[in-house]
Amino acid sequence: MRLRYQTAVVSFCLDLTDPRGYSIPVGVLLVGQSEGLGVAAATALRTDRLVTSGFLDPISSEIIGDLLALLQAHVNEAIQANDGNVDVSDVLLSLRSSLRNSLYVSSISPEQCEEVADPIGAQTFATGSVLRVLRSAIITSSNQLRERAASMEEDEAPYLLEPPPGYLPTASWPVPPFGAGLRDSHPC
Amino acid sequence: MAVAYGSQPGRRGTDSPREGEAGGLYVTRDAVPRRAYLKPRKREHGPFGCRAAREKIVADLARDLGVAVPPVLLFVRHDAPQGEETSCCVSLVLYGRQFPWHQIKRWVEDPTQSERIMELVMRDLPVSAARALVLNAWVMQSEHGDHPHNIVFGLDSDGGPHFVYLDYALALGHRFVDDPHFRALGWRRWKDEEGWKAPVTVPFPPLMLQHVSRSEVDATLSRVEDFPEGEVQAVVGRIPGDYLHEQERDILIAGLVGRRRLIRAPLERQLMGSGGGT
Ligand SMILES: Nc1ncnc2c1ncn2[C@@H]1O[C@H](COP(=O)(O)OP(=O)(O)OP(=O)(O)O)[C@@H](O)[C@H]1O
Ligand SMILES: Nc1ncnc2c1ncn2[C@@H]1O[C@H](COP(=O)(O)OP(=O)(O)OP(=O)(O)O)[C@@H](O)[C@H]1O
Ligand SMILES: [Mg+2]
Ligand SMILES: [Mg+2]
Repeated sequence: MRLRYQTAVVSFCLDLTDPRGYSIPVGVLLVGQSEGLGVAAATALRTDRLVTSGFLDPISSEIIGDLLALLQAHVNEAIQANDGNVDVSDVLLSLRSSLRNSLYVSSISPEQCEEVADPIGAQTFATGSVLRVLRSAIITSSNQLRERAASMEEDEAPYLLEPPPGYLPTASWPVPPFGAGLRDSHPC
Repeated sequence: MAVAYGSQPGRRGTDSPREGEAGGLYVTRDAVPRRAYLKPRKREHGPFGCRAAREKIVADLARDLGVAVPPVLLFVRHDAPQGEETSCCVSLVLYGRQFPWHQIKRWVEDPTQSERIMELVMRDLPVSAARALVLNAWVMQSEHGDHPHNIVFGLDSDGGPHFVYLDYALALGHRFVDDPHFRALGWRRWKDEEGWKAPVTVPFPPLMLQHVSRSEVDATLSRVEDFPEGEVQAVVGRIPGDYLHEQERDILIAGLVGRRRLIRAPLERQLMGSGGGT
């Protein structure tokens, strides 16, 4: 079966007042659907090291710590509230509308497709994807920061290389079949 | 004034056109390296919308009263895409870390989750919410029910807590209250038969209502009751004509002046029903 899916990266902005301030990717949500099947998966950064290094205040760290649950609740509510009459992109765009402060959606991927054998295959794929997308967002952001850090005092440069394995807890869960009916026929 | 669009935190350059569904987006400019929120983008037809003017007037009144509404500047968006509003405003982002009410309220709901955070949140809530409640009653703010993100909680650079009250585009008797839900509750457009006289109860997050400081409500009410008529005229009168139609301007002045002494009784009834508070 062919799974259509999109991912959203959630980032945390360290200083909202500063247009040049740092942001760090902290989570990824994937929402996908196929005939008669819905799937979602998410991963979020563990904040322990950011807290111990004094980078996060207690409220920010609690909120990032709760991100997996927030993403899960968002997907379930976005689908239920519309009786399943939503498309993948609707779920991610509504996430973007609801997270617009320190925690915000920094990017949404174009729609992609993947051939999967069955619902279990879809969930395995989704879990692997959110991990890959978050790792890659973290590496990109670290590289950008490293470039900027070259012109900075060392203790100003905030972030972190790629988190060690085990630092990215994930969840994936089936959602009821959903879809808004007619849509563009995407060439994949 | 040159403005860089799409200054969503951490983002540069042009943004997806879907950004800010209901119309707004974050902006910045080189001369002022701060972030602000620009709205509205959606254009509203007819002379009585004046959303940017409403935001500006309420922010200015709030400043005089000590209510935590961020400063608003009118901003003519000369480069607005075809069909979008040009008479806009920008609202300043005040604090480095901010979270919408829907992410914060759990610590008020259940203090045992973290007493430390509850303490931080409650350090600001009773006084700031009391002041905002009174302002909302005065300007007939319809948008602060249990809205997930029209109230945000911020931490300043010293970690100090501050609630921030946003989104007054539909206050002051906008036609939005012709919605059957509001009509059934007695709301009227200010424009219609002195609709500003309606003795309405403004929606406010119930959890906040439970904790508002009664003495601060009282003090703020007195400041509204004694608010100089000339200051209302100045705040409303300085809005340029292309932002605020002359006829609507007179209605807003009459409504604000007239409502000053109409809000005490409905507010007291509302607080009586909410329990709690000191
Ligand atoms: N000055 C500000 N400080 C912090 N956050 C702001 C500010 N202005 C706007 N925001 C953020 O942007 C969101 C949208 O702003 P606002 O509510 O004023 O516009 P809106 O047109 O009602 O948009 P929407 O319906 O999309 O929420 C707010 O809920 C808040 O999260
Ligand atoms: N002139 C109008 N007359 C009637 N209804 C209106 C008018 N303008 C807006 N509305 C409705 O009022 C609601 C709020 O308007 P607004 O443009 O602020 O949307 P919004 O910002 O998405 O709302 P919110 O801030 O609550 O998220 C919308 O549902 C909109 O359809
Ligand atoms: Mg709003
Ligand atoms: Mg609004």
